[in-house]
Amino acid sequence: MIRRFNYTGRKTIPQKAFDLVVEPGPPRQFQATFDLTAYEFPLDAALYFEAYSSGATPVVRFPWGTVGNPQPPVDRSLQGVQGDSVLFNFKAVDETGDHGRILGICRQITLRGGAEGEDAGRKSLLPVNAIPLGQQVWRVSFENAQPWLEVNADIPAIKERAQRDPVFFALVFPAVVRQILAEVLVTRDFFDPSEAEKWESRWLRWGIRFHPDAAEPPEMDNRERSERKLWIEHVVAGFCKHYKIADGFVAEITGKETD
Amino acid sequence: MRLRRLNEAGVMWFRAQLAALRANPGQNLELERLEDPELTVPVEPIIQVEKPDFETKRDAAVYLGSKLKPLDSAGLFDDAGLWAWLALLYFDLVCRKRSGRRKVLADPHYIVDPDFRRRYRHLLATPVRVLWTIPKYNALFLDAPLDTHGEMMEQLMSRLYVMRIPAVAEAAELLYFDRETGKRKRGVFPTTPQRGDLRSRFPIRLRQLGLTYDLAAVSGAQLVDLLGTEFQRWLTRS
Repeated sequence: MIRRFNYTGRKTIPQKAFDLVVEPGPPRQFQATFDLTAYEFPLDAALYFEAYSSGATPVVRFPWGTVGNPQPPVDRSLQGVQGDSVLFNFKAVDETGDHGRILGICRQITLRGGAEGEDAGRKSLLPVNAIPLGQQVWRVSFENAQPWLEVNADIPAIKERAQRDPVFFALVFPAVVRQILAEVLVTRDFFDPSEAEKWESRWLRWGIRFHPDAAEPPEMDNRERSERKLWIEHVVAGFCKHYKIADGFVAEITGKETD
Repeated sequence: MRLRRLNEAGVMWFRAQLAALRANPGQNLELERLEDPELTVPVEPIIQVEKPDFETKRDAAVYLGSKLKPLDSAGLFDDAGLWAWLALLYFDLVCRKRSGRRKVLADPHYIVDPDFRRRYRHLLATPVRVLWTIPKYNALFLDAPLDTHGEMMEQLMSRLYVMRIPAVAEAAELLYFDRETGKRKRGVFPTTPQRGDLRSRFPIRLRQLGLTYDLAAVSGAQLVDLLGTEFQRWLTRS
């Protein structure tokens, strides 16, 4: 199993150190408060937030002063970020040398009460982003450091449906789970659930929760990856069983028919 | 001609045409269907497009990039109907006849595929996207024949850092593009990893550096410096 070592002294800052909120717009802007006192960074270390979304859109970078004197920029507009779900990276950077060296980093910070419906400080496993999708209702994107569920922004209240509609949940989410786990275990050939920072590991840990034997995904497998595909099927079945998805679906459609 | 997009029936028709062309590479497309109201819808606002003779991806990107500016950029590159119509309009350029026959590539080269692994294969959408996202230091991507997808697009465009870290495109151009010939240097995509190659070593080294350095703030030359000695030989190699 491949392990990575951090020889640089770079510190990982937990997401709970940050509170990010969107200010009313337009333009949509964000504000951030954070506490770095536990990390003993040099006072002159420079601070940056980097905002991004799904799709291969450029990162929008916001210089935020220094550790000793945090200074939010005047322009904190998120207009350059496609879609309405935004994630942030935060960096504390030593700029005293020729090249800025990262002293501390926090990845994938979500907004408080963000569009994904998660609390600030928690990483969303599957952020939902409404974008133009033509005649597609939804798709999974892996373009941006983690999987995103992209839904068609032209469909009324599509994000609410994606998050709360039992029919959408029943028809879409098992397929989404299957696609993401296949991407991890088959396409990317990744099987290690222990890497704290990797989205692939987080999805595998999530899958283990729903596996009927709470089994880890198979490390050794044949060329066809049939063992891993079987593990995925067990996870999807466990997920559907846990949420009683078929029952919820039947209740929803029969309820509608009798209205 | 007014810019249009293929509707769902139009995209299906185009797919069938591509399949028929693969079976019979000598035949021609029914270009008169470009304005067929059963297969196409006009784009708003009104945009007129002509048929210049694009040779390179840059030619197409500059022309179409300028023409498409009035459209909302959000979702533009996922607009399968629009890009399929453009591929149809310029089919003689994106799928040139050679010795009376065409070599028709897979559908995603002409019809944008929603899968992120194949989205970058569209022969017209991707050059425009590159030009808009990487306005400078894009020679490796754009100074290439329009009708071939190419290893460069396949290897780099599906990797997010190319779009995300401004210095990456500049460093790649400094290392791997030959200004004298106007082409990429030989040997940048070896089948087995070689010192400083673009296929294997460049992305691995970038990932390593990104853990330590704030790459968003470096220039292309600084990034070349950080990449280390194994890459230096590319600066002088042709």
